[in-house]
Amino acid sequence: MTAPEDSMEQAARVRTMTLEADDVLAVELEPLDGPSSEWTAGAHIDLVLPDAPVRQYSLTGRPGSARYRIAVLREERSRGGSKAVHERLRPGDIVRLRGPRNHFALEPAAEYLFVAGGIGITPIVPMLHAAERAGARWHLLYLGSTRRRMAFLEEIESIGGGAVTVVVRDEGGRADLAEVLAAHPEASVYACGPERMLAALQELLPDETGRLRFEYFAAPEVEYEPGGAFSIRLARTGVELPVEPQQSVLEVMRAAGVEVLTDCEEGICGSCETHVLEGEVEHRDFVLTSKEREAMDCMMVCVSRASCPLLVLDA
Amino acid sequence: MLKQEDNEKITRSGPGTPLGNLLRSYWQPAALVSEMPGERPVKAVRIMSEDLVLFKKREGWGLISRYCAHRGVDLSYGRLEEDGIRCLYHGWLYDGQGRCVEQPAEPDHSQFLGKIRISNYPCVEKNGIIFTYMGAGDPPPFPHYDCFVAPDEYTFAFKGLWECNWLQGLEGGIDPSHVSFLHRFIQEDPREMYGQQFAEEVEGTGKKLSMLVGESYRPDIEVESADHGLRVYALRQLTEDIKHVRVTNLLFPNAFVVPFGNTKVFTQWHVPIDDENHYWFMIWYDFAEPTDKETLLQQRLDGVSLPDYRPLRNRSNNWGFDPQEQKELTYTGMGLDINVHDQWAVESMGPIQDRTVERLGISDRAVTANRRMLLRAIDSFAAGGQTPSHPVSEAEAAALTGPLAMDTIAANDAWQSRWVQREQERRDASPWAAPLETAEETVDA
Ligand code: FES
Ligand code: FES
Ligand SMILES: [Fe+2]
Repeated sequence: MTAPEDSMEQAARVRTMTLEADDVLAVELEPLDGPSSEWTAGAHIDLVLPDAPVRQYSLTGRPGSARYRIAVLREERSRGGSKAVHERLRPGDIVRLRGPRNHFALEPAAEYLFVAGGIGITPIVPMLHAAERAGARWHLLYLGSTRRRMAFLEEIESIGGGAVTVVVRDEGGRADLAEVLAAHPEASVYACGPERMLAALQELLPDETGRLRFEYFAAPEVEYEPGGAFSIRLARTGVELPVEPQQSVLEVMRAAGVEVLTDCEEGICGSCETHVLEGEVEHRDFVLTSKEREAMDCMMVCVSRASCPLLVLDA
Repeated sequence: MLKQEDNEKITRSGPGTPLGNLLRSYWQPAALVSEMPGERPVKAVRIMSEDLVLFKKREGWGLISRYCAHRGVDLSYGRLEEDGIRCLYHGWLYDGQGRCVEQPAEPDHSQFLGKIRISNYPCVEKNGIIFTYMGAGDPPPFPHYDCFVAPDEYTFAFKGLWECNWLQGLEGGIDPSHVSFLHRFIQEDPREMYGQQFAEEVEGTGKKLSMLVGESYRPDIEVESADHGLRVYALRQLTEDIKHVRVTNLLFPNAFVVPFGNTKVFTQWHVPIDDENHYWFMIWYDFAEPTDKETLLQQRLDGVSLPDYRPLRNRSNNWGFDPQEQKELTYTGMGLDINVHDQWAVESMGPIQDRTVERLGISDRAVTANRRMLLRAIDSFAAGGQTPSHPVSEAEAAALTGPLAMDTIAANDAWQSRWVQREQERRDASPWAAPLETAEETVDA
């Protein structure tokens, strides 16, 4: 009934690391205090590694499994998140994580069309399990540049039930998204992959249809450090301001001439509550209930920070 | 601390105010069945700054404006007829829907009659309280909370006048830390009477609750959002391995649900009379045994003056404050009735607490959580959105159950399961309560 608050960090041990494909490492993390809650398909965790930016990774495998399994692609341009996993993380290490949280949840439907590009397969795998378990019809279109870099191919085959189409570019494969969508006019579409692919899907399925749900695997490119710098945008004036690690959001707002009611200035009284329009908050107050924290629609600006590059505040 | 505008927003409930609109969209207690005179069941009531008259119809109750549409005469002195109330001045007769159905002095051919209708609100009687719906549109179904589903003989209803804003009263009820101070006894708690809150022995400790919470005055307080409002845990470390667990609830928007000994719970509404006065109404229910209503009623009537249910101890006599008693017997020096302590605390703040100057700490988490919920709901209601604890269908009403309220002790690491298990046990043993599976949907789980 009182699940530990999701936004709190917990410790987990690296149990296994498996090279699932070229440059793709699957890492199984076992929370030291046991899993905090049943995770569902589409959920992600924040992985907090020393000396590396915090990154979000989708959970993969069978939904709800006690170990959190993530898949990490080595990215040359990465500012350190994926590098740290590939180069420094080893089985037995203790890491810190937050979550799981789910912003990409699978809604019930009779039929699904899943479209995954490259490492974007990660959150889709648990969705296949979930769709199968719910007895829904499902189809997966899995796009990749070369088969050796495509993770979980065997695992997907073993789920059975649905229809899987694998399209590999260097084998001469070409996917006609319009055709695939037309072939499944009733299906709810869930997609994860590179921006190009998602943009193409969005064009084919504009917002009004309500059929498309997606997640960028690579977002956000800019990462944040816990307690590190980020920016705030004050929605009423449009002003965007940096918040340095040693500054609080409150200080920055005040310096910009915004009036904020405060009393304790240590996150206990609730006076400085400010509505958050966009972005994810790293809550550091003692005021909000866990449901309020998850809603990410308000924060105590005297102590709380961002866990994303930009917070848009109703101020 | 609140901005002045927010303090106004959550305290003012007259017609057309944002809070008033929100509160009116819920069923609200209007009167006790037991306060309605037997001979001539008519009584003037004031709710959220509206003056009304409540009267018995052939079936059920009528609640209409207190003032006759004709020349503004007070209908609470009117003549009670079969299904309506007749104004003494010129004989206009109003039915329970506020329609004028007779104007004896007007010519026969007059069409005037059909144009007259005064404010009128539907009423439903539940376990000793007459509830009314003063909002727009159709009233919502009643949630299946324990206080509504308990059979009448397992319940007891009462009310009392507190001369301050409603929210002060409510915030007192969801503040889990004051009980360690305000309700303390200097030596032993001398109360042995049936039905005295905090006088019950906490199972397994051999101590009365008043003593126990007095000794352990720094509880850990956890607050969870729930479908019914908030669930508040106060955890007190009694020994190295044992905790006292007290689970109370805010029942949105203006009630709380707290345990009372091992088998009893009560739900208490705080209903504005106007912005500076309010009534609390409670339904107490016993999971195990029928209540002795006669005894309880007499006990409580002894402490108030009628017809207003004004406590005999009140501002005009300094709540009976006695410095000698404060030295020797009670923390307050205001008698043994803990209800009076609560009343004093919230009345002493003045008619409307100035929340722009208060200083809130960690132990006020439930109070601040409630204010956030209230402010949000006021906005959401104004924008036509959903608000907590407000079912729109019978199915939604049936899903609103409990809420669970519990006082128990538990081994440190088992407290989360222990209190639920205790709740399960008392429900299983209860002749009327629904089992736990359906008793409550938790949100934070
Ligand atoms: S000023 Fe008290 S919580 Fe921010
Ligand atoms: S100590 Fe809380 S009101 Fe004074
Ligand atoms: Fe109290």
